[in-house]
Amino acid sequence: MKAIHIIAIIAIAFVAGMFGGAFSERVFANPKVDEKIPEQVTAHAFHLVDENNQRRASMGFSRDGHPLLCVNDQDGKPRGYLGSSKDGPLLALVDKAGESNIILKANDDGSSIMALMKDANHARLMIKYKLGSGPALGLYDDDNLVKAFMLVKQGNPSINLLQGNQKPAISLLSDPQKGAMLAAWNSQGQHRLSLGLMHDKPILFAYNPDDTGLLFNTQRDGRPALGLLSEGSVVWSASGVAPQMPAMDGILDQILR
Amino acid sequence: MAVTKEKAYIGLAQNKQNPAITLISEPGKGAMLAAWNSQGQHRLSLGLMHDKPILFAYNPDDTGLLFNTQRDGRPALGLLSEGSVVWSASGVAPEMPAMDGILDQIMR
Repeated sequence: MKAIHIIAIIAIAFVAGMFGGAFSERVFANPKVDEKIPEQVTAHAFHLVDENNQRRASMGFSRDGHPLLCVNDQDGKPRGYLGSSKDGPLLALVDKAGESNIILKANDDGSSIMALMKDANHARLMIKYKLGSGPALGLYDDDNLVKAFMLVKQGNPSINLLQGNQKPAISLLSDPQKGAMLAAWNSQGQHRLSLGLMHDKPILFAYNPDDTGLLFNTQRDGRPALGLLSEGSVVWSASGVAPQMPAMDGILDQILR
Repeated sequence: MAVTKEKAYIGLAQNKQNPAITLISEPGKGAMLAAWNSQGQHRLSLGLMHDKPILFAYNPDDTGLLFNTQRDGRPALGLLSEGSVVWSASGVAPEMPAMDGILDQIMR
């Protein structure tokens, strides 16, 4: 989930609003009170009115010639749109203030988006699928920053929570060809904690920024090793043999690359 | 899966809607994996809190494993039985965190 996704959904919200405005202007002329209401009509646009002659739904065309269906609330305010655009069909549900709450969009290129919005500029939840990239689900905070997301990218699933600076905080990662692990990053964006299996071998490490911490892994000779490290040096090991430290920045790369 | 004003969670719940296991993140404090026992007690965590790693895994009677960083900066690994340290890797008994306080520091 990147800024471009937010921009995309805001653009969609904007388009939905434009649809509504243009559509209302074009179609929502008040029907005359004494107008006869036929059972069927054939027209370029028509309204569904209630017993008070209040328009409750309308069908017509947008300015650029795409058909559009609009439903109104009891006060006559547009609350939902279903239409098509040059990119594909669109469904927008609108609150009383005219802001899009829920948007569904299917694009002709195979991508699709479902978004729950706080208002036209703030997404709350977004489900997105882009052909070639895979599906993603993102949750946003009040500042419109994604804080949690799940995605499947090139066949590799992950579940992620982010820090305020949009760097990862803690993740569950899986690469079917390599391994799976829980990983956490400190406030400086350094990967300093992992528990998982890499190439079927278990690994656990948990370090301070100065590489003081705990390490469990399997040595090259196949023996398990458990050690405590202080500033990068082994100060205790369960076997009496100092465990070999993995390259700190390399562990996760082996999963992610 | 939820995002509140400050925090983010991804969790699985038990039958009683108590949490079972959760990933928690709060910017400025830390992130961890936490698990609760059938009595709703937080008894397992692995994560980074204020950039310091912590691992604990306890039975309901505080028998279990603890790894943390001591106040003097040294790492400590210990086994505890009913809340008392019965073995430690460094020969120094690791200071136990306040059991109900670790997660509160993240969640509150």
